[in-house]
Amino acid sequence: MSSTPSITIHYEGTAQQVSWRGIGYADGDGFNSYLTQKVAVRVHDDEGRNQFEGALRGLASTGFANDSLRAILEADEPESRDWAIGEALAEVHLAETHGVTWPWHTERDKRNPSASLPGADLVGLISDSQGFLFALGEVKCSSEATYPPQVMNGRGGMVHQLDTIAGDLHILGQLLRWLYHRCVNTPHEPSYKQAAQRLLESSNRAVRLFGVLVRDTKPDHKDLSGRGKAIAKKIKTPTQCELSALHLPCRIADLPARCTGGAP
Amino acid sequence: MSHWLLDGISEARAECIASANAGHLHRQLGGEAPALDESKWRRCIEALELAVTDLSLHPQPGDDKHEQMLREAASDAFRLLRNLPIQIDELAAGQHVLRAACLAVIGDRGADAARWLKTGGWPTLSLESSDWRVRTWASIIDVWLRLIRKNGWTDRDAVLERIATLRQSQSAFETEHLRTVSPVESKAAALELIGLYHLAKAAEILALYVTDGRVDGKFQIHQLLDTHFDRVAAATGEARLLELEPLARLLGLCAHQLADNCIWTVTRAVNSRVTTFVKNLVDRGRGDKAIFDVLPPQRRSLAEKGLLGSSRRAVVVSLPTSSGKTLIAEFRALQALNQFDHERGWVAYLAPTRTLVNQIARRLRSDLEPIGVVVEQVSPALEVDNIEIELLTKGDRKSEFRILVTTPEKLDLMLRQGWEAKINRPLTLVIVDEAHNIQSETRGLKLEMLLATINSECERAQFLLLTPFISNAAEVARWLGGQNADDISMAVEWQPNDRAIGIAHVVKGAAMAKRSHDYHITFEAVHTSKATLASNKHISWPKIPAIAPTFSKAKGSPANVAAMAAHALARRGPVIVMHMRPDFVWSLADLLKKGSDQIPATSPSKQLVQDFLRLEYGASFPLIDLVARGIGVHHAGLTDDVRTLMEWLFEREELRFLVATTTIAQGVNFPVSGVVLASHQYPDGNRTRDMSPEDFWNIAGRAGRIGQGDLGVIALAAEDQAKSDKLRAFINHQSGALNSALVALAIAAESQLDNLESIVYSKPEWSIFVQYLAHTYRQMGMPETFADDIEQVLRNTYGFGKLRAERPDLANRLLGGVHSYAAFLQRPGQPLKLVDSTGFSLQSVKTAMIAAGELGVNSSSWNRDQLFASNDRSLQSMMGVLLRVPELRENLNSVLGGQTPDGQKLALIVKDWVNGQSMQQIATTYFMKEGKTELDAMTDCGRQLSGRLTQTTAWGLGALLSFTAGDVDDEHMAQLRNLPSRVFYGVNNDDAIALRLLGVPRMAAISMTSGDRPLRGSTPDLRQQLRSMDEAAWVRACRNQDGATYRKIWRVLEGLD
Repeated sequence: MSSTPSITIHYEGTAQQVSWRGIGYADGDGFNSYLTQKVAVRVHDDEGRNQFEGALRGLASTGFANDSLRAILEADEPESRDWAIGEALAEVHLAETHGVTWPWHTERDKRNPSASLPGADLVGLISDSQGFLFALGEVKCSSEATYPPQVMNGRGGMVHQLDTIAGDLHILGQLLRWLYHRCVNTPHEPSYKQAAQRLLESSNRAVRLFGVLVRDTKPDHKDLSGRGKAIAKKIKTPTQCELSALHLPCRIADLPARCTGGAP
Repeated sequence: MSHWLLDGISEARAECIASANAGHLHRQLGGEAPALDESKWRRCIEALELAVTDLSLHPQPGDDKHEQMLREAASDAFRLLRNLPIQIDELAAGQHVLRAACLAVIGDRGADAARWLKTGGWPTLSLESSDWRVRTWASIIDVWLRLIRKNGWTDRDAVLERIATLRQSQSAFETEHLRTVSPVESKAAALELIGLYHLAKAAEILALYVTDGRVDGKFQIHQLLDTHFDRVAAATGEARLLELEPLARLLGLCAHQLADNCIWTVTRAVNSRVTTFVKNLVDRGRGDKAIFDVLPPQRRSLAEKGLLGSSRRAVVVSLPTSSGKTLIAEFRALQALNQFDHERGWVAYLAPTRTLVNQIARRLRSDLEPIGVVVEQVSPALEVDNIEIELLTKGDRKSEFRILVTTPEKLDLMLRQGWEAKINRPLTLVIVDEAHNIQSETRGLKLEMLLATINSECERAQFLLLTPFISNAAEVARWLGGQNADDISMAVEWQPNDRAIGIAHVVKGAAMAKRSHDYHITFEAVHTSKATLASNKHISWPKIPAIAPTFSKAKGSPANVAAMAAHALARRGPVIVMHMRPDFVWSLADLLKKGSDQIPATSPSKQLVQDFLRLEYGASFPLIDLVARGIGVHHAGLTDDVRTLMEWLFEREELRFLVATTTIAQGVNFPVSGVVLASHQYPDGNRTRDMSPEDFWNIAGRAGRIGQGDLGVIALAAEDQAKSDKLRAFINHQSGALNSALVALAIAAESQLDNLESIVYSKPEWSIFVQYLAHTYRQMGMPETFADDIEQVLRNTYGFGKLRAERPDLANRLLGGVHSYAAFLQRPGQPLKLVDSTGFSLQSVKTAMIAAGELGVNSSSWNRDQLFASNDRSLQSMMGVLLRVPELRENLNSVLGGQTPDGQKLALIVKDWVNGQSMQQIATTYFMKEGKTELDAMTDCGRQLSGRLTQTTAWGLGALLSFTAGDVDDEHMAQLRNLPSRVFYGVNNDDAIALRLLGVPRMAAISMTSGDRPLRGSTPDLRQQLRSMDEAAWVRACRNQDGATYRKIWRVLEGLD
């Protein structure tokens, strides 16, 4: 059984270095197995799940108590995390359509204290004719029947976030340093080095931005076109940005169940 | 060597660093800092930090270039980060400062970071926040910044206290905090806290290790740290902790570097004496005197290059100024003492000047006496008097000296007089401070010959030569140690603080009335070979009308420019202002006084010095008023005591200016904020010569480290364009390889090299060389084959090898001359022994013997009670003899300004001096000249007395005594042996000599020993007595109220207060 859903391109557009398109997934076995085989493994990261003994071990030697921490770490992950599935869906989509690789793409990456820096939802590597680049992405899910939905606008909106990732050197620097430790002494190290080098030598512009909007509404080019043009005014060559609206054949709220093979 | 990240940003990096340097310069010196390209800076910082991480994760042991690249990247990242605007959010701001400080430590700029944190502090952190995350982060940032700042024990104690408090508060805050975090974020929050707790523990470990050298009985600091940093990595690996993880990785590198810099790590497992010493350094009270860390050059020398574990016989440590060479020497001395403990070996510490001998002896005494190492100094007088005999030979295992501080000249004479045998313990290590003096035209050869002699005659002797950076340290080391030698050099890659060297000159301004023009001073920081800060944008300093009202007046002399530059720099901290000659120095001090618009507040220290000046020089001495205005003066026309007091006031920042002759470059051993040179030259007879690059960088190296900020500024004053150009060339004159003075001497002597027998009559500087030949001949048992052996003897010198390499023609000529000289030595009946006992050449000994016969100087001339009496003529005859000795003639003649030899006048001056006349009285009686002021006379008198007459006469009398009083009995001889020292110290009894040796000012020493109950005792006893006497006891001993002043002054001079 194929794990590739059949897709329809509802609309497409470009403005300078920004391109966008609306993609519809057809329901059926292809989509089901896509979710249960490809997306689910990214959500249910067994390797990264509750492996906290290493982190808890030795805490006693610091003279700090570990009871509350152990309780938190040993608790189950919250069940309903449709946004996490949305991110996993976006990762799979970008891997398949753009060849983006995720050096550290598991459950652990989603653990991010809210008090901490915003960073980017997705951090990966992508290659072009000159070698590797960083792929940084923001993911939003929305069932709102307005076009574009609220999640695309405002301070917490996708456009602002993409702009921040590309323009805030502090955030980009943090990401770069953090990602180094994910890649060093792994097969990703050479790609990382190339991407870092290109980024720093291009005044932080050699980077690929992705915005993925997960939708369970009817496709409408207004979801992306206005925002795409707005971003085009902000980013500078050679930065490129691609916006995708992924239209589900099911409700977003049903994704957790669908991923585990449950009925819609 | 290249690196994937650094190569691509090299251009941007150079631009950013240049702009950071210029910005730093302008912020410190006034003027607007150039705008910075923040986005380029941030990119550079990211690349540099990434490179640091990458280089440290891919180490290449033994590859110095790899390490240097890492350190430079870290140091540059620090340089940029500390100049970037800090975020508003307190944790982000704290993280920024901590990141910068960590990079500084990794880049071997830890001392800079500490100063930066001490002066600028860091943003207020909510250590009491009710938000547990904020509170924990705040505490972690705070403790790590304190570990880097290391403000004595206070910071160390605060680290332990903060961590204890954090632990205590955990139960009250943590659960509540985790409860309020949303469930999806709680795991990340918990993992972040785990990481932070391990950082707290690592900080605690480091704090304990710094002071105790162990933690819970364990010495393996790196393993202990690794345990916790690995666990931070384990925790951060389970979540995306963008703030914690990169910072924790950086802290890990920083912690290991801090541990490596720790004095305990560097000195571990050497020997128990070293351990006790370290404990003592660390335990020095709770002030800021405690030493926890070593500087990078010290770490390099002691640990990485293995100086402490080394059995190398000769080591040359060639490091930049302010690298802490004295501490390196102390460790090496302790090792040598330990190595030859059974034999009770001793160490000779040689310093070039009397002032440095005093300074070093004080420092060593204060550092090493607490651990039971007795440090003594002997005077530079070229005669060992009774007090010194006692000091050198007496004492049991506990009280005998183990380190002797003196000048090369004195040690040379001591060894040639057989003092190693008389001391009856082996000389095990010779430490030569400022060893680059080996190439000094006037004194270099003596030092070289001394080292050559020690090398061939003192069986156990090892060598430690301390020099500013020289490029051929290895060659010098090999000369002394052969294969068993090592050199430890650091050129420009490390300096203790930022420095700017530039030229100050006058710039013409708008037209003023009467065809005159306005002006201002401009400072142009120039590029140099030593990574100093430069800027294309000049800095303007205001004119000072009281010094020069118009442009034409201002450009009239470099002193005007220097005075105004000094005033501009003095806003930042104390400034040394140098000029060539003592009379120029007085005028320059006067200019500075004119430019001062207010009199600073007085202080007990200043008053004390002023009281002392009144006692020494009379109430009208101009320095008294200058001190009140915060201006000190330092030159050879002042006594050693006064010069030391000037340094003392200056170091305490009670003087704004210290105006000194350029010769101070050799004697400054303390940090200054700025240096201004009105002249870059030394007087040389009737000519002038440029300061050597070593001396220039020596003084330049002292600039920085106090006052505002850490930028040391060296300004050279130029009165016009031509001088500007000359100074620019001078600044870039490279200090090169250390040469031997013999080469210059041989070139100057040329044809006279064939005739070494008579060379001393026209070139007395050759005396040392021919004495060396005579000494070696005698030492070898006067072999008939000496002429054949001579080449081997010459090979013991450094100079001959250099001469052969540079001028083989002269080397051959010299060899020929030496062969003839060997035949001369072998003639029967030569008084060779007297060459060693007098320090004269063979020819001079013979000349003096003949003169003594002619002038009737014989054993009956020596009468202790009569020699300095006004009606006795013996001293006059003796001076007549000394005036014929080539080695003494020039100095004695110049006392009276190079007039015709006048033994009678010299004898009268010496008598007045010995009989306790004040400097003022002697000056007005003998040194007043037409058209000159009393101050000129006093300056001249001071220079001639301490610089020439007393030292030369003491040496000459000692020599004369040895060959004209050979037939007196031992008891009588013992009485006479102190006579030269009476001349040296200017006192007329033996008890006073002992007090003078202990540093008691001359007039006080005279008062204390001339009453019914003179102060007496062995040197250690006397020192103890003087230390324990209270004010009333000093007043009683001096027999007047001045005793109170003298007591305080003595305690200052001894380094006790």
